[in-house]
Amino acid sequence: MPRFVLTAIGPDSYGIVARVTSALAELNCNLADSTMSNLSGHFAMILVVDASSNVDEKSIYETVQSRCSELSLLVDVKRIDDHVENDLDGDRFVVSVYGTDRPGIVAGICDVLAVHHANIYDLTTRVIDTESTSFYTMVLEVALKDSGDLAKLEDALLLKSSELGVSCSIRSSDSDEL
Amino acid sequence: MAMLKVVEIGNQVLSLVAQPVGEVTKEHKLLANDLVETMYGTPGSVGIAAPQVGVSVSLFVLDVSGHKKTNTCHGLIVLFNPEVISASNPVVIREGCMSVPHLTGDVRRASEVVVRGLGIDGKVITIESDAFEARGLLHEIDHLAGKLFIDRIDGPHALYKRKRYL
Repeated sequence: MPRFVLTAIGPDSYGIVARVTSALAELNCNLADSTMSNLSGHFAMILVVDASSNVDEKSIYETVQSRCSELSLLVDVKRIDDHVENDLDGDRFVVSVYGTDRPGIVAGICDVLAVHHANIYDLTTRVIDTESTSFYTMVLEVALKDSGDLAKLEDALLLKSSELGVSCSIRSSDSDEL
Repeated sequence: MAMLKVVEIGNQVLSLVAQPVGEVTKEHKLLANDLVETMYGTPGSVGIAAPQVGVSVSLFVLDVSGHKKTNTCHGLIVLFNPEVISASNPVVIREGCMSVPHLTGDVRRASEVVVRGLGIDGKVITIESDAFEARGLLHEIDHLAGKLFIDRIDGPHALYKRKRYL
């Protein structure tokens, strides 16, 4: 079964999700995974779609475009591997970063995470405007294969955050089994 | 008494560990009174810590009277040098903060706590509480450790934008 990734983004309005997913339903496509969010007034969708063998990138693209013609969506469809490693191992940690907005906060912190083999599973950023400045906040969930590396990672994050002039904290992502 | 200006995220005082008081002086009592006036004068506010008005002193005030999530309620609490003696039964609730305008977040905190500190008269008091008052106590004590709710956020999808503070 061919698998595709569809990305669509456009000025937020009523009905974007309904139109796009209806178009996919017309083609009997199955939504395997998705993330959707309003980004600064633009609604952004990333969908992983499983389709039948007679459906290709062009037919998905044209069907979505025809159903969403007045929505000013930027749409892209690409075939992707249907079997990739989805390794969810490792101890989970939540990292919080916040400070005065400037270029390089995400790059600096994520470079430290990469060097310490902390795998990013999820990341959200928000910009908030205070009376005097713009403030950047970033929250990540990461996995460490060896939680014995936590102390080194924490030291490196504190050093980098000090260089960047931001606050940074890391803590275990607890979950309660019920 | 006076309404004090609340400092916002980015002000370094919010990242500092607040200074404990040796004894509760007249100046400390005046600061406590101003915090109470600022809290009651700010719609939606149920608590405020001294660092939130730019003063790095280990003091907060809290009053969750009448809030729909309140169970145990001690009325107005004024506490210097607070410490958490015990904390149990964590729950996740969305909370906001006067010093973090435009954002709220889901935060896991204990719903049953015992907290000890100095009251406005300088005598040691122990407060045992639960539910919303417990959350308020822990939120304010975090301020005194230089922590904001963003440092306790439950995950990347637990941070939300809002238009304004209540």
